[in-house]
Amino acid sequence: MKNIFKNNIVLSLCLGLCPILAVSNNFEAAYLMGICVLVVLLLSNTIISLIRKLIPENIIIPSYILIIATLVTVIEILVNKFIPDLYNSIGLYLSLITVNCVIFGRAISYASKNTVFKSIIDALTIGIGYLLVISFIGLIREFLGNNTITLIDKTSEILNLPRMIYRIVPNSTYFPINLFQISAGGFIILGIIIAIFNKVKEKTKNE
Amino acid sequence: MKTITENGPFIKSKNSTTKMMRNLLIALVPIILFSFYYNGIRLYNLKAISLIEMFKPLLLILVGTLTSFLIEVIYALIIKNKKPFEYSFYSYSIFPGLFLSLIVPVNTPLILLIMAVCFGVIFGKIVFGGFGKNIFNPALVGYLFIFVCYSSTLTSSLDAISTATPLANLKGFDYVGTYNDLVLPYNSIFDLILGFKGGALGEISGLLCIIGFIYLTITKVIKYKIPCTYILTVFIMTTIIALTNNMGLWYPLLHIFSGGLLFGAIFMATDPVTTPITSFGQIVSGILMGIITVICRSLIPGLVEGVMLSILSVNLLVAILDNIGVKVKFNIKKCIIPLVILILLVITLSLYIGLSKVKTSKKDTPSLEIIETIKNNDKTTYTLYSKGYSGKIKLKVTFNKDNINSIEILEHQESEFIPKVVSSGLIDSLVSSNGDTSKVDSVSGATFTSKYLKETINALSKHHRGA
Repeated sequence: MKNIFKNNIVLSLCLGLCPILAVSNNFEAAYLMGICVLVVLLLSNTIISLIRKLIPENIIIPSYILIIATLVTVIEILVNKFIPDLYNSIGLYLSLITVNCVIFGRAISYASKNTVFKSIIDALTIGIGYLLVISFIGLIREFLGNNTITLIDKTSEILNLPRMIYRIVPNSTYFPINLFQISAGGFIILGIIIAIFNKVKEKTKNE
Repeated sequence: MKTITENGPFIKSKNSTTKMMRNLLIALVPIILFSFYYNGIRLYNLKAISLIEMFKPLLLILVGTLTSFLIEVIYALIIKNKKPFEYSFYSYSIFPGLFLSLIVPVNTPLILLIMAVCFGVIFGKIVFGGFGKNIFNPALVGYLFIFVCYSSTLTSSLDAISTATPLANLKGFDYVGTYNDLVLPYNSIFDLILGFKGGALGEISGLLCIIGFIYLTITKVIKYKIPCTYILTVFIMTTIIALTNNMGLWYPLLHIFSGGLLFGAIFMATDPVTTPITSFGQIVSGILMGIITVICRSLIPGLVEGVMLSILSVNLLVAILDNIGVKVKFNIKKCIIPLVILILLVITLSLYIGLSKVKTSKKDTPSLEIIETIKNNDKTTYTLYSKGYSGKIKLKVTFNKDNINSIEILEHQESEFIPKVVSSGLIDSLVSSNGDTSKVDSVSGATFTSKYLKETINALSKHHRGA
């Protein structure tokens, strides 16, 4: 629980900002990205903690990158096969997960020193924290920038569900603020969220 | 807090911040009144707008000022200040809203203005810690918000109310043109200087801006070095561009007196909080603003105005410039090299812009889109499409031997402009010009439409004589 809220990796360390700024202008894309990161993190933490004693100290970084890149490539091919629409829109950022600091940071600082079970728990909590932040930012950005909320759109075919795109405001008051659709808007929203987060953290510490 | 205990001659200035802000308001009043006359009362007298619309300029200013005042009141309540209204007053919160309402286009919807003021004040001022601590000019941050999000919707509907601004006109001609094309639609260069042209509320009257500048310099509210170097740089660069393209002295004057250059240079670039305090920093920032303005105006397509962006980007460099400025304050020799480099930059850049425009202006030959040609003895009838401002115009032109007999407009999409063109007698003068359209005057208020019509008729008559 500590990893999800109090030590949230995005809000307290500002890691893994690239997907958060680039992909989060749509709620669906945001949470799918979060899930991808979660899966890669889980697998990489498991594998790395399993073989942590086999890897010599001086080739830690190349070998970890190799493992993570393999996993990311697998995820990328799977997404390309089953959700081609999603791959077309965020495919570039999927391969960028390889150099995502969240995954690499957890691999070096946690999974290489702890047992498999602990690493899995760590990956789950960190990944869920990441997923929550990215989908929250996606929700706000899509609502402000496009006045819609997309729950299921590109995955509707493989899930056998109807498309769910909700327009929250009536058509007469449709008023999108384009700023939040571009990355600058992502920065602003992230900044506000981090400010509120720090304020709340300070208050709970004092109590 | 550290107090000074040494003996020595101290200077006590009578210029308190409140007094400075009062003087700033006094300098703004004539500009507001003139723009109210020009955009409100004058149009009402011409019966172009209703009585309520007449007060739109004043309403814009009122709403902008009130919003930015109230935001700071709310902020004071949030940080639990005991006197919120006093807090808001002494952080001079009305100015961002006031300036913003003076630089946005006149037809900006009120809701948009409110949003921009909120954005500018919150992210440009309060986030940094309130009055005196902001890096960027809050009004310009708000302007940037409108510019990034809504520039397309605003500029497309701008021409419906007033005539195209001189800068938009310049852009239409790709920054190189003759006196007839660029200045005559606004009667003369003196009308431009006096302010009888389209544009945002604050920026239309260059003369009143200069009077405000003199007043503010005498009362020591602003630093005169920034506006002077800024305008001088733009003047030099545009003069070089004009010389390389065989244009007269009217061209730099057109650049200086159109758009927000004077207003921006005098009122926004001299904001005491966000500008350098050393004279080296002021001179360099003025030159940099001038360079960026000219680059934005003439090299970046789709960007009509560069003044606000140039001021914002130089705001970024203020700390660095001041750092250097303090070091070189008593060592004038060290200033020389950077200044020489800057001046060389100014000259080479303007030469580059000027020469690149020479090449592009020669390429421009309108192509003809003739649909059908009917020949009947001496009479030849062409049906063709001409380029228009918002779409194609379908024309029917009849030649009698080599002379143009009649021009008819069959279809068009320019609801505003074609009636103006027809009522001004442009068609008749096009007929009598017989293809040599360079002497025909463009119609003010429908500059682009008449320009395209002239080009098409000219090309068609050449085509006819050649065929």
